[in-house]
Amino acid sequence: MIKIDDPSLLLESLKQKHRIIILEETERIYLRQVGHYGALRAMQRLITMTAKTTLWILCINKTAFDLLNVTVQLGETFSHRLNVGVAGRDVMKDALLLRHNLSGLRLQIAAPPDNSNWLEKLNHKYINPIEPEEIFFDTLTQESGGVFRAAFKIWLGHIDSIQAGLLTMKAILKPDRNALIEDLDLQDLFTLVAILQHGSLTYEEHSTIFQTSVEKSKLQIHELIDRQIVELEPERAGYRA
Amino acid sequence: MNSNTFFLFFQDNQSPLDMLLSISPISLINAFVTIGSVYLIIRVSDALASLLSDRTPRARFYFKMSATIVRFSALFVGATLLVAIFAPSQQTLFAVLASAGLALGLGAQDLIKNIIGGLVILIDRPFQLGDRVKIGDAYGEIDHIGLRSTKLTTPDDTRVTIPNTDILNGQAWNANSGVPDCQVVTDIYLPHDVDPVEAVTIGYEAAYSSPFLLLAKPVVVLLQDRFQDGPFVVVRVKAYVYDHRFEPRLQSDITVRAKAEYLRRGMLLRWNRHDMAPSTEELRKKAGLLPAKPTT
Repeated sequence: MIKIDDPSLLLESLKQKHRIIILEETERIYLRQVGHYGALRAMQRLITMTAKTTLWILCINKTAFDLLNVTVQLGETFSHRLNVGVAGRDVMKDALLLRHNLSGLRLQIAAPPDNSNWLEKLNHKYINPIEPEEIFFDTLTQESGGVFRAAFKIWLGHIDSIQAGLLTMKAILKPDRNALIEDLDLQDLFTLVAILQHGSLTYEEHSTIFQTSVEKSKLQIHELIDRQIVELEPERAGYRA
Repeated sequence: MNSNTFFLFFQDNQSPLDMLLSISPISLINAFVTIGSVYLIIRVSDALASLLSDRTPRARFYFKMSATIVRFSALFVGATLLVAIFAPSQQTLFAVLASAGLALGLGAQDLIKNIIGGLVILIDRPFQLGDRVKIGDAYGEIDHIGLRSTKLTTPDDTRVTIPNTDILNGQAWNANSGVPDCQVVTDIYLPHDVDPVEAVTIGYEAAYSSPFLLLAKPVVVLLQDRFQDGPFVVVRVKAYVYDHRFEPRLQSDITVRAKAEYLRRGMLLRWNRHDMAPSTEELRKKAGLLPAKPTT
């Protein structure tokens, strides 16, 4: 892209011409371990020194940004921060209903099975009644993580039937994450957080972060794979959540 | 005071035995039911608080404190009900109070002091259940505030029982005051000739790399010159742990990460204290003193 053979000429080259550079998956250029923030710091220096000629756009997940913002003050290197892909519940509902209303069908959403405890049941019945539609869109927003593409996919996956101009939607069932989290021990949770902070981790990277042997890291990651929390990264080495 | 004088406190011609015999079986049953209910309420509230604390560890302070308040309230209400059940006459009540006063004077005053101390701790709240405190020489997590004593568990899992009156009369250091996080200070000792900027940077990175760190609160790394048998440098890392139960683990984790990096960069291997400072024997020789006596 920049067409230089000698890396030492990078700075001069970037200063010479106006460019827009987009770096994706920035969370992969560091490791949460002493002495492994160097590349990121070098990149910050480069960005600061070339800010007049180059518009730098970095894409990074929120978990990694929260860590790097306190560790190397990543946010201070940039003038703007855009929160992409996190739509609120109302925005999500409006967008989905707008799309649905184009079909001209009436909408009916099935009530989810009530698995709440007796206290919550009383609350829902007498104090704070909740409509099936509200539960549906709450769960939809939660499960899609505020991403439209994921939300539309879930929407399509929950169409039950279309009869006599009526579209019936199945209720979205919330996975019981609390039970899952309760099953995980401290090291499992730390591994999971580390995977989120780095996008994905190989065994070697995991062992560097947690200062353990590669064998132990393998066992740790495979435990999470068995629980279907972690899976193999399809396009590169490593495992993602 | 002879026995006749003592009996004057009771009703005109009623001995303590007569008084006991005058208690009706219904009153006795009511009294037992009251005591049983109070015991049950205390046990249930303790179990409930324990259950809820396990489910939501970060809110454990509120549940445990509620259990203590329920315990004290139940005991107070129970005592009041017992007085109401037996309905002693004014004279009898005075007599019982006088006897209690006498008992206090003779030896139970410490117990009463402790009970009052327990009530004062509940009202003044120098600490709550679940807090990490230092009281006297004991340091650990408060896990019981009782009528007579307060109990804490030290990081090496030893239970320490401290009479409430000792807490009121002494000093108590509270590290977290009702929230799960607390500051952890880790000292790392380095040779005096290390690169100070490098030493501090590694200190920061070691803290930020620890999974036990609470990211929402700041990390501060300080560098101090010290002298003891020779010059050296102390890197002091001040960081917050997200749950004070992991305080020793954060300390250890920061030390391990930082020392591993100092070693990797050869910053610890260079240090030999005796290369920099003369030995005690040499100092004594220079000062014209006799050699130190060998210890047996």
